[in-house]
Amino acid sequence: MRSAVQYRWVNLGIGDIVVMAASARITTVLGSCISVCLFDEERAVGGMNHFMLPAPMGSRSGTPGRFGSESIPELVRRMAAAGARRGRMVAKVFGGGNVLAELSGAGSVAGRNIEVARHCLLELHIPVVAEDTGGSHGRKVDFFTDSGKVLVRAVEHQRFVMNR
Amino acid sequence: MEREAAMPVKSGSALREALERGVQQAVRAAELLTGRPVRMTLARMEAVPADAIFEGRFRADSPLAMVVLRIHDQGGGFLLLMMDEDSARALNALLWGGVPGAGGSLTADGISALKELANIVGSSFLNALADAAHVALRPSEPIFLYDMLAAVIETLLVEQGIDTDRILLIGTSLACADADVCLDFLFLPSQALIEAVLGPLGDA
Repeated sequence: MRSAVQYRWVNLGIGDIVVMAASARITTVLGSCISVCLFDEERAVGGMNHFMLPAPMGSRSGTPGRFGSESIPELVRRMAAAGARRGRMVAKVFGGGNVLAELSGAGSVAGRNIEVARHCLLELHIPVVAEDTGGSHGRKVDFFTDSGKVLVRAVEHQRFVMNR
Repeated sequence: MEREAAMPVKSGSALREALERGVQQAVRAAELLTGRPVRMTLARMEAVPADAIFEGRFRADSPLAMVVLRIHDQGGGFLLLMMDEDSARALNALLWGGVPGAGGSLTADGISALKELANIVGSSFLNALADAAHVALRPSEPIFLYDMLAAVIETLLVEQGIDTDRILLIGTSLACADADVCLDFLFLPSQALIEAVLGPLGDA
């Protein structure tokens, strides 16, 4: 009988960046924020961030985890420090739901967050192998750092709300 | 990582007294809406860090029925009414004489009733705070959401540019006819709103 992998469970909060070189399940819930999951299969190193906004108003924020333009390069640096090689890294991108579409309209932070994630990863030459972004709903994301697999769950709006 | 602990709002504080007046106003408005006697109590009120909200009755990924009121004045902020599905159905029955849709889902009429309730109770809280602090606080039209709690809260924080460690949790218990319903409100003020309203009340 195969024994189940014992995962260390890590809850990722807003502005957090976590890199693991061991079996871990990193969990977060996203609305308009974005999580980028990076994985180096050969070294089995995985990392994930959870940023709020595309970029700081000034040149540098002092809180790099909150801004995509700083959080993604920082995630890549920490992956490299844990033994991953940038040339082998692949990315999966989640979030950017315009949850408050009725309040914020089309020019939402969520859309700009998605754009900055794609742009940063393109500049860093890290391929995006999976993406579930946009829409008008939240997402729960579970990232398994030993396999690079990701589970994404959304609330079934139609199950509870009719005629909208 | 160390985090600030939750801070209960002291009894006898100007903020608590203002919100208790808000409850009284809300009861009168809810009785007009339902046509029946309503009891409502302020069960819990504390300033909590954003992530501590998920250590109470609801988890971060709990799917909840929520109504959001945006506050336009004094730098802005949000008031969020949240309840679980059972409470939403119970309120629907109370407010609308409600027959849930297929599978116990909420109909458009039920959602409209919840928005109306959030509007009158939320406006009662805001009016009481505004009167006590001698400022204007006008809410937006209510917006109904059914989603994971953390997804909505983080989006509200992002929209408002609110720092994540000053959220006022107002837990209320509402009883009408045979139904007891727990309604939680979250007050997410901007820094300017904290200074304009909570500062004068001695709780900033």
